[in-house]
Amino acid sequence: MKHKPPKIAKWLLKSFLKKEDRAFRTEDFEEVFQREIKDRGIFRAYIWYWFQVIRTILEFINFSFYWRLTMFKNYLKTALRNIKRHKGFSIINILGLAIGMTCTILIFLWVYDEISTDKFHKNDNCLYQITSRVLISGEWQTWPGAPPAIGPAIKEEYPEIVNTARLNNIANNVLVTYKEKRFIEPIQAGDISLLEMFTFPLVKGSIETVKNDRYSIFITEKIAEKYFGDENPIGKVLLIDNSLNFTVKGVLKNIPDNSTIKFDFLVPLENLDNFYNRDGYTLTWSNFSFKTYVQVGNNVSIEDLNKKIENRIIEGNANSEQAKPFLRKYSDIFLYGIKGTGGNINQVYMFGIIAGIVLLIACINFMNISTARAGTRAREIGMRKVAGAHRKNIMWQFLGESTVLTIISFIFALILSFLFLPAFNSLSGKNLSLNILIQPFIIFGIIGIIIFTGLISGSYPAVFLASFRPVSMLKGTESSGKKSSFFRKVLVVLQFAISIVLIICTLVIYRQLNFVLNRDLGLEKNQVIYTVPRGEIGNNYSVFKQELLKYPDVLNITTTQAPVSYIGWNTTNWDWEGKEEITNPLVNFVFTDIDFINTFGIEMEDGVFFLKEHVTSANGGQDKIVINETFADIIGEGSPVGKSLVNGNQSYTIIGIVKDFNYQPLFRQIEPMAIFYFPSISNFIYMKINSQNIASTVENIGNIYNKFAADYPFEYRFLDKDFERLYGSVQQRGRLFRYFAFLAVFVSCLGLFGLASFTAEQRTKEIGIRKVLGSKISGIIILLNKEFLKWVAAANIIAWPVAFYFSNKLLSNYAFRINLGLDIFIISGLFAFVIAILTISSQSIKAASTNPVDSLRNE
Amino acid sequence: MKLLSRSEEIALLAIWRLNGNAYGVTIRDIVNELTGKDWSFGAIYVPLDKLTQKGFVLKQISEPGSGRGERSRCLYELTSTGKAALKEIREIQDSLWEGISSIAFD
Repeated sequence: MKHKPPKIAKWLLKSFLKKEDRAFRTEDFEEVFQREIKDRGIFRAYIWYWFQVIRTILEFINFSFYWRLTMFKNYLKTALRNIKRHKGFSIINILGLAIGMTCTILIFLWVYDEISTDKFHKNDNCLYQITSRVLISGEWQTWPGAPPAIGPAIKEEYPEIVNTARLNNIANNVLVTYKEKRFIEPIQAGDISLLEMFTFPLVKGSIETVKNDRYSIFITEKIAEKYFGDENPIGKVLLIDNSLNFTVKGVLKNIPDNSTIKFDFLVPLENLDNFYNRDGYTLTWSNFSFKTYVQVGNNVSIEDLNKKIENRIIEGNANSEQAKPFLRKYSDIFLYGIKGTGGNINQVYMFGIIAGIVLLIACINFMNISTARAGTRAREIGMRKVAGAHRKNIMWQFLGESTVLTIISFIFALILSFLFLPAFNSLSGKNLSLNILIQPFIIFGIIGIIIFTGLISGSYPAVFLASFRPVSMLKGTESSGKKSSFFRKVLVVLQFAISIVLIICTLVIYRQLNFVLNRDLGLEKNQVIYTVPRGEIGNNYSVFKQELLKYPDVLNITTTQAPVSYIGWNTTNWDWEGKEEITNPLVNFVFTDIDFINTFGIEMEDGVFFLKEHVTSANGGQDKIVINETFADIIGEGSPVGKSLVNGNQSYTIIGIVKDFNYQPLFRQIEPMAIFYFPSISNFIYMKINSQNIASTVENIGNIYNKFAADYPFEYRFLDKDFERLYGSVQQRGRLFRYFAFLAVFVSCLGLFGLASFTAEQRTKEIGIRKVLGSKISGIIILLNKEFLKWVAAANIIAWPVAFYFSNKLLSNYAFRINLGLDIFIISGLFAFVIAILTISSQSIKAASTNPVDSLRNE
Repeated sequence: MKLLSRSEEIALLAIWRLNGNAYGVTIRDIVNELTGKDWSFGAIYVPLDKLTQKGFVLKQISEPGSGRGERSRCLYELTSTGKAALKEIREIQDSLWEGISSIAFD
């Protein structure tokens, strides 16, 4: 009876043996195995077999390890020696890769920050925001807000809902006073459950004490320091808006930067009733300016829940908008928008791609320069092959070399990242730090990227060099063949094409920005300052205005309830004679006085603006209305001046049509607007002033201001700066783009420089002979440049259509945009040419000027 | 100037002694016997491969013999370079140990 040796052990053994030895050596084992069975019995034989296999495998590993270590030391020595010997090219390679990796690191930090926005809450999985789908003029729009009444209602009615919280921005400029400290601050009002649902930890105080006292306030650490220094703020009283006292009940840790919910001061929601002088403000079903957050229990089906609450708003108030609430996951909203489309994820993708592109260009450089210089290693490779190296060994050697270079580059990249982080932070408006990199997950990722980059960059040269034939190499007759130089040309063209696309996009963004900032908006934003009425100014507006107008440098004054750079107050429920059922426009509105169009230089299309006679009539002008062209178009053909317009249950007579002007950022088409005469609701006072003597004018205004509002510091802003700030994010993006385009071009030029110098080196003999035969230096320069410039031309041809596509996408956000004229492409193309010529010329001039005697001597 | 390593020397001598019957099993057995230690197969194969690579031994595949249990085997044989290497190491050994009497070890 023949026993068989243990299967697993045998399989293990076979996998460690080389093919040629496998059969014989396994039989060796078998022979002794049988002997052992005879001598010691089957049990001892099995044990013996297992031990033998393991010991044998260990010997093999030990041996190959020692050998591999030795080869590794040799490769390392060769790699370092090679780097030292050709410092110039090594620096170009390392610099290029380092820049590429720095971009990747910085952008990674940025992306990480964006992606982790809002995700730090403990209950993240259960946190949702109620968004509303609202029917406006036959179209469903999605709004981020929901009526305040729905939160408490569904919390009671549905057990799936564990908690709800509402949040509203009371005001952005409220005077906060503590002893002698007084500042203008933004205040938010919200349910205290907000602090239970979201992870905004308290460092002092507690939530419990708030439950019965609506005049409580929570502040953040930095506010605590600002007002109370080292004192304990708990129990102290802040005077809000010079009228109400709030007791500090808790101090919160500073809200992290990557949270979309931000506040410095938080008061319970009921206080909105005070601020808006309206009881029941927080109980309505028809005000969508509240944000409502919901925490659901475990294993709740959001789909089912959404179906259940779908009609809750309409049930609450049939006269409210046709609106359907539905829950969206809170932490998804920042990246993916409230509808699930749009949101910031596109930007994230874009920057991720840019990082990838710059890194790609750097890798291409590396590949190109390494292959071009392959010839100089030819003898070494020949020797190694003769000494017994296989193709695989040579390949690993060069892959290893490129990995070593990559590691060195990475170290430089870390240093560069550290140096440029502050600049990048101010550019991107974030507060990033390199500390996130020190997490096990990330470190794996980094090692992965280094190895990946090393392998990619080294792959082409490694394969190329490994295929050299020893004999021709040692003889020195192996040349870089035609096929390889074609591939290299393709790579350079690719690099330049990518750079040109980036240049074009940068130019497009730059132009669009200029357009947006300088376009005629239909209103005059220059030389206009504005301030917020406080103290007694609101009650004495006309007197205040008269006093100010006494100064000749104050040209005109008006007041509005909403900032003129972004009028977002709107309402539906309009009616007029002949209106169709389905037409239900959302109309933005402004409350103002008679000097509105004079102060801003707005033109009338038809009819008149509010005149003295209107406002001194019996109704005080409050039965008249002015609308813009867009609204007039909606109402119908012909001039609606004189027609009657109904909103809610008020009726107004249209006295005039203003020409459309941009009161919202140029992303949006101009929407319908209505202007009411209502100077008593005054949140902003705008003053047009003379461009001379601004300083003294401001001082005078300040004095008058303080006459009416002694307790408040006079603060003012320039209107044109406000408009600029609307496009803050675009400016930011433009700047980032500019810098990355520059980097991409720089790295491409590095590559071009390296190739040019190499080619020049190669052709020294040819140049020497040409010179001897009578060619002039200029002729030689042209000869050398011609070749490269053909590539740049090819790059342009590829780049233009691609750039066109992306530029269109970039501009698609804007309702008002520039034309993509041919000049943009031509300018970029020429720019690329000039850069290329400058880069190459330095090398071609050097080559062309060498004395032929020297170059021909080296035979 | 690379000299034979200890295990290479032992393997070569084993092959010499086996005189035509040197394959995995027999080499290991005789080495175990001569050194008094239990060598694993791996510890034998590794020096064998090195010796083959250096050209000190020759591998030959034998015909399967007649009779049961006579499989075709991979036989090792010394080459002249191998013998020279042994000679070298023996001479070095002798000159190293010359004059050192065994009494010095007590």
